[in-house]
Amino acid sequence: MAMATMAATATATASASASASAAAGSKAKGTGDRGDPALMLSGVGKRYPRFQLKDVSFTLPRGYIMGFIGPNGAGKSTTIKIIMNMVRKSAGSVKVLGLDHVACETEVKRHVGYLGEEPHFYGEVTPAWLGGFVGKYYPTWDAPLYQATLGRFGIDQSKRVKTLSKGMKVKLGLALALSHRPELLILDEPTSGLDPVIRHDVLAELMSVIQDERRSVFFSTHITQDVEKVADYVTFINDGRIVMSDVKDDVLGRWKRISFPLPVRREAGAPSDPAGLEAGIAEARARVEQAMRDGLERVFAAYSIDGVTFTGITNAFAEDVAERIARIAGTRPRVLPVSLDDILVAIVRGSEAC
Amino acid sequence: MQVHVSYSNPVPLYRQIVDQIREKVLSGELAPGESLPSIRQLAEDAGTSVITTKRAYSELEAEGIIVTRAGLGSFVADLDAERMKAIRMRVLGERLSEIVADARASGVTDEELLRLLREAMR
Repeated sequence: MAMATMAATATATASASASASAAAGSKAKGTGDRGDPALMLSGVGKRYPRFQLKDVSFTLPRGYIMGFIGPNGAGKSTTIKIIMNMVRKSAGSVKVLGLDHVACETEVKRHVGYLGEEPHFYGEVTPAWLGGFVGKYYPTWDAPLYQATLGRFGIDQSKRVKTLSKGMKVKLGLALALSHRPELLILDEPTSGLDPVIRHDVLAELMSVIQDERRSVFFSTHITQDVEKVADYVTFINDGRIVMSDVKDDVLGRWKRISFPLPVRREAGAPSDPAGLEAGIAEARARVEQAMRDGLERVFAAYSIDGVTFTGITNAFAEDVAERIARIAGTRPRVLPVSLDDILVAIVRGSEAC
Repeated sequence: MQVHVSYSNPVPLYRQIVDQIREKVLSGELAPGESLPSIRQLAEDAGTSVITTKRAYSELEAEGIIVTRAGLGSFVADLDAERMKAIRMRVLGERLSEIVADARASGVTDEELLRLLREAMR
């Protein structure tokens, strides 16, 4: 969290608190009903001269981790800044823990821990001083927890912030974001630029946050492996639009890489008859291509026939798909898992092609 | 309880967890009545998501291998030797079905496959 941002948050907190408590009226204090989702965006839009966020909608239920994936410039940070009301949305609604993110900003910010991209801390102060400063703005600030977290992260409280490495600064930011015991943690690219050991520590911390099943985590990243490990839900954004938002296991279950050798008929030429073999391969290829045109291609996000091998990536895998292919290929196809990375690339390439 | 999942394994993650816990129960490494880690704890330990471990536990419950008591957590079911044998037979049956499907798809006849099985049993 940048010092400037912190100060801005603090002023917003102070000025909004009077109006918010007045507006809340008889409404019960706290963060809405326990059954409310941690985060719910509906039709959120934002218009910039050269970029548009269009109809961004997704829901993160309580107690889970959602990874927000997309290439650079897809709109991840803009979406997060809108949630935090650091950027004004042009359309749609945002509910954080059941509360409107603008009308109930103070209440929302009390229960949200936020860590922005590239945290810039004022370098001359110490982590101990920062804890005292930030803690003043949160009624639920837990100073012993802050100290314990710093200790666990191996951060010397009395060292000046400017002497900390990038990884340590991210951990410091995470300790600051966690120490008022937020119900929702929102992190913008928390693991980018970190070495594998610190990335592991940060992800382990996210897992430990949701040990309490009322707490939730929303984090953006372009490192899909991080999402693959810890996230329950995955939301893909590309060019300002949500491409997919679903249970990660279901996404990985639907997307598969499928390959099989072309069904060349056995009589199609011995090694001594290259022309016959070539004709046999061409005939097999024509049969596979015909089957694709007859409807099988709807199953594939992309495919290619290279030499005597068919390779495709499907986003609609099911047992009957494997069986349909087996009837054409004359053998069960090889079905391999794909990574979220492969899916992201397939989505981005697919949208470029259209 | 140690559970390892591999992200490069084509078997879905929750299936990998189900298979490993079932194996621990059938081998006696986990005793009847023994308590299991919570869904969230197991997710943290195994490095998977909560939804993955939740799915694994409900699958194990459906198979009758574990029981979940509200507020207390999950435990290894009280399985007698007969039940254990039945589960073992079902698992072996599933593996054999896969082999039969593989054999048929690649043109191996049932007679040839039976011959292979008899050879393997010698």
